Amino acid sequence: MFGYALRRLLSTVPVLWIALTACFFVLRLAPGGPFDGERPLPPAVKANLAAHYNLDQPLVVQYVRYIGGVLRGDLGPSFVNQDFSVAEQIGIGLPYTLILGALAFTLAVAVGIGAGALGALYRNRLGDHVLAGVILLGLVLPNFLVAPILQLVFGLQLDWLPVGGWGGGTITHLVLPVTVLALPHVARISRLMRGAMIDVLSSDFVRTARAKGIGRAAILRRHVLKPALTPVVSYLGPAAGYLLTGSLVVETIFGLPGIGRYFINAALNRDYGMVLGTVIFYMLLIVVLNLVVDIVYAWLDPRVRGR
Amino acid sequence: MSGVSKGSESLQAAALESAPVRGRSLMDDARARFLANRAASGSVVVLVLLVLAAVVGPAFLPWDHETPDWSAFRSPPSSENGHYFGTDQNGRDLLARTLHGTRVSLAVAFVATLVSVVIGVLFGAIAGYVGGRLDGAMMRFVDILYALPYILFVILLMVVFGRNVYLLFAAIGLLEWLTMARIVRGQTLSIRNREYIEAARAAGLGRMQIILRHVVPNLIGPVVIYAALTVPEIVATESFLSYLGFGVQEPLTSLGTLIAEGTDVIEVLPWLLWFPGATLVLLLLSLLFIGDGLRDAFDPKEIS
Amino acid sequence: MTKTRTMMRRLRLSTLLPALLPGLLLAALGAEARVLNISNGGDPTSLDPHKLSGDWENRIAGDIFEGLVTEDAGAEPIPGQAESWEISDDGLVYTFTLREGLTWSDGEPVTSDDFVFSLRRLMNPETAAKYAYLQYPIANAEAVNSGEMPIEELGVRAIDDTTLEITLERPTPYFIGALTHYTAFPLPEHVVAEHGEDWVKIGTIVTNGAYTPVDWVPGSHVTTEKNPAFHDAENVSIDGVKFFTLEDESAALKRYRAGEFDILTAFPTDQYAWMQENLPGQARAAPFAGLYYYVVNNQQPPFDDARVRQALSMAINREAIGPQVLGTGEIPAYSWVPPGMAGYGEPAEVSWKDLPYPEKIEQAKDLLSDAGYGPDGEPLSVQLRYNTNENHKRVAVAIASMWKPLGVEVELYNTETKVHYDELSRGQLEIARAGWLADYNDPDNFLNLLKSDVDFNYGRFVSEEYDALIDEANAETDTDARAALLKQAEQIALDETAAMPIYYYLSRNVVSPDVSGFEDNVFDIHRTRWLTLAD
Repeated sequence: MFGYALRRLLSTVPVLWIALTACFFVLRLAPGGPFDGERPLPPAVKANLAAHYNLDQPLVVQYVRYIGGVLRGDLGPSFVNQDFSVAEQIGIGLPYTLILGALAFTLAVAVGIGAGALGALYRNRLGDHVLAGVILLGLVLPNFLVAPILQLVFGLQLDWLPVGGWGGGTITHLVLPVTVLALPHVARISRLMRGAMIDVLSSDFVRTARAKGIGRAAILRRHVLKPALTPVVSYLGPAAGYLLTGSLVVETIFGLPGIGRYFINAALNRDYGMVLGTVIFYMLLIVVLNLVVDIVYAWLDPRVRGR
Repeated sequence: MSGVSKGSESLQAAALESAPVRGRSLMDDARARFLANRAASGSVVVLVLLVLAAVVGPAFLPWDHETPDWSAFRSPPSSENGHYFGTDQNGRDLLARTLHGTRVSLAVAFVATLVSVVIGVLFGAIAGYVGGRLDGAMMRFVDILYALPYILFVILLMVVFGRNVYLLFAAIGLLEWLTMARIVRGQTLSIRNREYIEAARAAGLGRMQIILRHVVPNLIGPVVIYAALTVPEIVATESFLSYLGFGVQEPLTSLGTLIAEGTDVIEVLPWLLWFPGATLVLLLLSLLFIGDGLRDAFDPKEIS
Repeated sequence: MTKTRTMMRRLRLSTLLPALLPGLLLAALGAEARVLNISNGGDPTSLDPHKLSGDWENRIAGDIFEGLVTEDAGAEPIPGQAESWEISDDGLVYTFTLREGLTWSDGEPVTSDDFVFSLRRLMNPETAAKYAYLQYPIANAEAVNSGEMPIEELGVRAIDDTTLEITLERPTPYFIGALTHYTAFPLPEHVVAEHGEDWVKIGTIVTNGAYTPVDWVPGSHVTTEKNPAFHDAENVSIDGVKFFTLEDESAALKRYRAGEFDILTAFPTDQYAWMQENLPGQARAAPFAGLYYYVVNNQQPPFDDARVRQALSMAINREAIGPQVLGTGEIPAYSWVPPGMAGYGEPAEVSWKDLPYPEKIEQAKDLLSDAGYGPDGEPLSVQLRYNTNENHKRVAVAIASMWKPLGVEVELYNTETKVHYDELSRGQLEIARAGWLADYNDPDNFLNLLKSDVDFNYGRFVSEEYDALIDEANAETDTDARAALLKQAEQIALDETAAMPIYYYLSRNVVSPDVSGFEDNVFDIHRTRWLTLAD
């Protein structure tokens, strides 16, 4: 298992490197540099700025310096927040994104699996139909539509929850953003879970077990859950990716200082270093999460391990 | 002396008289199941209406999507001034804009799906058919791309190449071809050993010819299903990008852009959010039901 | 600071924890000192005044630092770190006397050497300060900033610890006002010398203003605390300020209504009418010394024809833009210089200002057909550029529809702010939106925009007469004579339609009834030391 994990990790290094290189050069093609603003700079100052940040050197030289820096853990300076380097800013923003993502992920998995299982066990009853309806809405409503509506209802009209901001991480500040982020995944996971469980419940070996007289709870535990979870777990890998992209919108709407917001800001402001830095981190996160999911999958389904 | 009894004689006669037996093909089965699925068949009707409205509707309206009506700025929906959906902060008719936006969203979805289908099918079919090292390398490539946070790259592309709407179509399409390629490859693997392929090979057809003439046409089923399932995702992705400001630009508008503009003024000009929002939800729901319906129709095990 | 001395910042685990701790601690402590919560828009680029260029950054910088001269509640210049000054008869030499007993927040005395150090660093090309040109009135400043002269040649001299002498290139009536700007703030030489670029970090930074910064989470907030070493500390009422980074104006308004913010520095114009009804007296739209205009490419046909430019300008129904399109009632601009600039009186105006609108349209059509365009001539198509922003979009859409009856086809083209200005400064435009906020209280601020040798003259308007008048005015010491010359120049620019002024800005703030002392002024500067917060 350890060897498998290690091999997977190592195989991603060239991927990361290629993606980073592509990003680096593509970004430089973008029109508009980081120092253009409402007031153009006198050419002397512009030249100084370029020299200061090594922007006047040939692109390849800049690239080599950058990669060298990355290997040492130095992701370069940020043009937009000049008092913080890219690494420092990511260090500050990453915990917020991780906390938000982890909570949303946990919520999505717990509620999704639970709702899906209940739906399968009590299917075609009223509760199942209601659940199906809610799930549909969760699947279809975009998060940028749900968020302001929730903000309006719970934040302003009912005044139960704060409308935005991190607020030191208090629960009330996290409820809305985590819910909005998790909602589409709750929907998808419960759909997958319900479908998979129904499949398994009607399969031969479950019928055999029931015929043998084994109790319901035991059947669920031993024979149903693991195989039913398989499609769910294989969804979790891409889900991690979707959660990260969903956090772009959620962080923006709720004003949370995570790296998603940094990325958008940096892209709009041509803060090359910041863009590349956040891309690296997103890729790392996705890789790690996918790896974890793969390991869980291999544990669930031993046939996979043989590969 | 005949050994046939009287009863069996009448049975034979009856059998000869009744209608000839018609075999039921896979398509017939699927179609029957699809039509029996009320949500799916109803959604087809809804979708067709939406598409018609979007394509043909604007011709019947007195307002177009970009000309301000100076006498009716920020007007709530009213039949008196002819603005059934109301107007926005520039006095533009919301009904016209919603239809126009739906048109753009559908166009993006169509082109993007086409791009992803073409690339995915070719890629997967070639990998699956040729097999061996090429297959391994191509699938490795897909695995690699799967690991990347695609949205970030799409955003970067939009940033770099400016607000070119055709590029948007292509970029979103490029997001979706990976899964299509995997599915197609799987299907191709199971097709390639069938008799008609062997016959074609024996007849001396080249590999590409076989792929294009025999493999691809047999992939239509799963491809259509998967394409139907991803269209809502593509529409959602386009809305998401437009909401963040990276998608469709003025003077074009899309459902995502309209919703983005509407969320800012949800309290003072709520109609600006509700109409485009409802349209988007309706569109996505119907696409979802249709996609599900198609999948269930071809693969009954999934039906609850 | 040279580039070889930039420190390398590595990703340390130790940077992760401190991010969470203050928040958790604050939450644990519960009640805290009453802090003024301001929604400030963007993140500041830096706490170093030499790296700034935005008004949102000015809000923070002006609270934590103070220059020789500072602003009162109405943004009028008053003595700051200097208690008095003398101006020589020829208007070239200013001698400032610093107050007794001034100290930095760490106790070290503020001396005139700090000012010399700071101004030299500002002009040093290696600092690459974006706003250095604001202090070009100082002798040799421009030469130093372009690297042509060593920094010691800058016209700033410390006579003794509390006396500072500044020499100017030429008599500059607005120089005292310009000294309130953050480019003229002193820097703590002893801290910068010791820590280099890291001097601005929280924990190391030392300031001389009413407040000191104590916390900065990028993307979230900057927090300041009252500075007991400030010379007027006993009159500073508010204990501290939290500047929140939040670009989304509607989200900010929601949080204001939920009680999380005391002051908003922008609000969505669509909500203005709603706010006037539901939050009476809190939303403020006040005249702001700024001009919103459309640049026209004077060098590119067909816009090189003054008749075409004038026709397009006349067809804009400016009266509809403020009240209807934007909803906050911005005042139409028929002059280049906004009203209220010191010593200027009434600005010059376009000749057609008072015509009724239908009349303007008719004349515009005539002008276009004279120039060979319109229904009988060639079709005219225009690419209208603006930077991505709700308001700019609305104005552009509205104006495009106003040009349509003239037979003009308009292509709307929007890009992000940085791209927009990059392409403008390279002359890549036909017609484009731009804006200019006054840096100091003098009309040449705006008139310089149309001088032929100035970078900001995006439309490349060239008029020798105009340039000559401006230069003559700069050499003129008599205020009235100077104003007359400037006005002549302004009239030329307007008659030639060098560019199209559209409206004068309004400052948009939302101020909670708990806050007093917030006076609307044309520079939209409201230093926290003049405000008080009810409990």
